Amino acid sequence: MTTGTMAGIAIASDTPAEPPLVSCLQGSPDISLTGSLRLPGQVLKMQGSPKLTLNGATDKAIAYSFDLHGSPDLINKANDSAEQVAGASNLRLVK
Amino acid sequence: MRSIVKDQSGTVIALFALSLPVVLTAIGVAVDYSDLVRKRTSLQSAADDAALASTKVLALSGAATPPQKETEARIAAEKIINDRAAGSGRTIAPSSASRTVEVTLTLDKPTFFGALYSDTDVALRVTARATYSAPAPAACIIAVGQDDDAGIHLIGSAKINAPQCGVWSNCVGAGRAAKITARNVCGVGGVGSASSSPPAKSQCDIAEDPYKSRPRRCGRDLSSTNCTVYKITNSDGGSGKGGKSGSSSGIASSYTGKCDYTNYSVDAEAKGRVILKQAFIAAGFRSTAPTSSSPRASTRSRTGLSICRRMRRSRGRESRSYCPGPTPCSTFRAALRSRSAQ
Repeated sequence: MTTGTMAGIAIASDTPAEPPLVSCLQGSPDISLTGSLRLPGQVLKMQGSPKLTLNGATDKAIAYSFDLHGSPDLINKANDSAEQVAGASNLRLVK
Repeated sequence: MRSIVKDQSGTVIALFALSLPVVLTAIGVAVDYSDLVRKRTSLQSAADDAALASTKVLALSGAATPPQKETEARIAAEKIINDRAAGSGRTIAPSSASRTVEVTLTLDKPTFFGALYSDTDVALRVTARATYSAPAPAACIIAVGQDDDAGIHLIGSAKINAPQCGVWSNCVGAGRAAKITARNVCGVGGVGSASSSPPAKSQCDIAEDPYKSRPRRCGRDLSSTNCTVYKITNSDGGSGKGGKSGSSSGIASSYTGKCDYTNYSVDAEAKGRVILKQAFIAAGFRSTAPTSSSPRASTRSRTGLSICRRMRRSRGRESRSYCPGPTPCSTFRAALRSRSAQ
């Protein structure tokens, strides 16, 4: 698994969002990743019947927007239970 | 006799003697009041800390049942109170259902000077109530853009499946006939006609890129290591930066080593076949199927993932877009304005 500043990220691209670039998955490729997909400045466009699977427990798919046409599958097998502890940071006094 | 009456010497002493009880009383009241305020502040601080600590235990407890969690929370509060406000009366009311803990402390505080006039102590009573928000399921599919009509736009029979985490769209979580299955689905600016399970919520908080603290762009000086990198190469054998007009790209080889950075810039304007633009591919790319059932796609890319960009006006020709981009998100902006106005 990746270490360092890009730990946990499988694919990353950060570009200015004006105009957003477009990442396309076309046809019927079957992509299986362990690691996050980070495209905050890009539209992730899936056309046809591609399948994109993120397998890691904390993987995230991040894009400027998602545009899915046809019969694509975007699957994320992440389990958020490990991150729910963060909710305790919302402690506050109300009285 | 008359001289004695007219003699004013010693009047100050007389006045002082007469006013002394008043002055002493004022001083006593001030001292007592100050002491009570100080004690009350200390008591309130202890109650606040006890409530917060107890609430934290309630939030994070691994106990199986709510009563068990509440017992743990009560013990945590007791410990704080015993340390900080020993001798005070206490009522600790944790509630798993309302995610709150209310702590009430009471103390009968004797006064120094007030005791001269009354045997009754001053009863101090403070209350603190702490709460915690239910942790929102972490989003694992996030559309962070705020200028699209639809952050997540599904057409046809497209499916998003994230059963154990959330799907979040900063823009309108729109869609038509397609299906989103997730632990929760949320559209910040509203929800379109997307079919989702559970039903999508609207007016959610804006989701941020969880990796925003990471480097904005990979460079060759990237410190990340131990990558299993699938290196992008062009079909004509080229690799790395640059490419030829009309060439396709494919994931041709892999290696383990320093994370790689690619900056493909095939002549997009000429053929509309740009594949990758400033893309970084790092560890974990387990498999790709360099196949495509789409005849058009096959001429453009043999990779599983291709990244194309919007064409811009170039060399006097009209712009055109291989992958048409979105339109401005008036709906989202309107929703934000509405929320700001509230």
